[in-house]
Amino acid sequence: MKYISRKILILIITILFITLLTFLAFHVLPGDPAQLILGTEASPEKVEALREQLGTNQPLLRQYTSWISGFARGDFGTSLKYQKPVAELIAGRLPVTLLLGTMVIVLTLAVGIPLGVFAARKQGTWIEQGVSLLTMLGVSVPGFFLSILFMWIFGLVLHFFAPGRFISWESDPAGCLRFMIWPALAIAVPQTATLVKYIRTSMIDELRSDYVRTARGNGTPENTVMYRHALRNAIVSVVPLIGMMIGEIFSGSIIVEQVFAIPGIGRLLVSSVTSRDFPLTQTLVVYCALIIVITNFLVDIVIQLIDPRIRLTE
Amino acid sequence: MAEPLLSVRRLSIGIRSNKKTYTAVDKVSFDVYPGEILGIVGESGCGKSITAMSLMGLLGSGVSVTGGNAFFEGRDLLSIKGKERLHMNGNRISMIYQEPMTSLNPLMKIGRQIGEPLRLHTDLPEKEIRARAREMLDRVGMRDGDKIFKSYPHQLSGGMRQRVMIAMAAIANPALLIADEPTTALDVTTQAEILELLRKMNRDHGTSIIFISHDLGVVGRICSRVLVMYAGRLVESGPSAAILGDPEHPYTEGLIASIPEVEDRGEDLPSIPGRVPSVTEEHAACPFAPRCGKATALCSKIPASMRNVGPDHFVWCHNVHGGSR
Repeated sequence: MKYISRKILILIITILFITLLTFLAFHVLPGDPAQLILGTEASPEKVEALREQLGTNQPLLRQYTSWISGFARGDFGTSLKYQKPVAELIAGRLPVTLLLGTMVIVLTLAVGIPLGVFAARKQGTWIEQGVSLLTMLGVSVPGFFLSILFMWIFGLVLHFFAPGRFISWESDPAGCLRFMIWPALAIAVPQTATLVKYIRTSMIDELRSDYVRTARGNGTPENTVMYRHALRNAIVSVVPLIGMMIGEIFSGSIIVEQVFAIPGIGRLLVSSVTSRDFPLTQTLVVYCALIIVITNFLVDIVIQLIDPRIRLTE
Repeated sequence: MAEPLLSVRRLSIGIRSNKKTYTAVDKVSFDVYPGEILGIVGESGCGKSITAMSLMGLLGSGVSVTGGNAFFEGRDLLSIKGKERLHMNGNRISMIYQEPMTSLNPLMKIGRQIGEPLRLHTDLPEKEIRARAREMLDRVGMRDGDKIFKSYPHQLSGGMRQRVMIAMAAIANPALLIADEPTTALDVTTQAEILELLRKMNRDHGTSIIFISHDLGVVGRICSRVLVMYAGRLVESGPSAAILGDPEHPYTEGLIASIPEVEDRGEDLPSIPGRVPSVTEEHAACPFAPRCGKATALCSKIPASMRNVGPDHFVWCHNVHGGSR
């Protein structure tokens, strides 16, 4: 318990530090937001008035504390581009990214873990070579390339979905899933390949270990040896990788969302950056950082739940 | 004598490396009788461990049985597969290993691990399995059994872990227990306790034990009969007393001479010159010939046949004179 509370304290400090860095990055950058919004033709009085409205004429520290205290209350400010509360904008986009992310994670784990175990089991056969070749291919093909490939083959040629025409969950859940499966696959394929590689290596190490021999010596059926003994041990070293993947996926797969025209967090981030919408960008950057920090925190907890040896080291 | 429990006949094991197969165990035959403790001794690399592993079907990749049989309860241990294999391991034959530190699953509680053989081989309810596993901890002489039961392997010392291994190996009451250098990784006092435990298991439950060790002194203390192996072959076999008291083979003599004795304190400990040939090396008809002080021209040409030199005492050496068989 003491360990967890200490971890939470570190978590909070990390998050504060991230907000500070994000804030500084946006306010140290050259370019006055008010000037940018109004354009170079605007009169100095108008610019000054907008500065007053945005609060950018106040001292930096003051700006930061007011931003942070707003954050704590759940008030993230108002988007300059959309003229809507940032919270509302994010809330509208979040379900889409969460759905996409969940699909990717389910696909990655459901395919990656059994395939990694299978490859380790077939060590030294042509099957393993085949799986190795596929994973090499999967790891080296980037998600955005797969997106374009899928759009072309499954969208334009085979008409499995209409490229660029996003179907929302509210209007048609089945249609939404049918559309989302393609971007989900585009992200999941490289992720799965990476996972297979790690699981395979980790499993091969575990299968050589003495406790696996003991399990076999006890007459344990091969499947049980694989999943209940070796995989549980192998997964300990793969959990951090899975955590990193999850963090990456939920912070919005920027390029894939862009290619498939999915109105998710990633796309919102791109548009906020291009339009210099600093309240929105700041919040999104902090959101992404939060996802990463929190998944890392969860990874630590999960590893401790699996591996009793780690509990003692704290 | 009674029917043997295990009959190993002309067991050969090959190791594949660089597309060639090297013979690691060469036509070894022996019997294990019900209720006896049979010792197998020899230096590291002489084929003791892989002989044991072959009986359990646990040979690593690249190592395989190339010939022979091992009859046990009506089946040939060297050829059974699938369900028959699973039925044997942990149930009728168990093994304890040289490496107590790493032979337990680090993520499983001790109590659960000890119960594994019962979980795999019986239909007993989980509650009963746990009760028996807990009882085994007392039987292997663990104080604080309740605490150990809920511990993880990393919380125990090597000696405690080996006791846990013994408890696990014994819980299903197997007919044969193979102990592969069970005390090598342990300190001397723990060693004696583990030996006593094995002896007790043998005495109380009639479990036959194959006790593998490189230490002829230890083997002499616990075994009724001893096989001496060298470079994958049997060189001498017989009752412990005969082997230790009246060794015939020059290799056995060398092994006995290198057991330290209190009265020889201060003197140089004799050792056998040279080393065990690696499996990839070609050896002479008698693999020990290059290290043997008594070797003659014959030794490198013709393999020695088995000679009977006393009751149940056999030796494979040209320079030992006894009845050939």
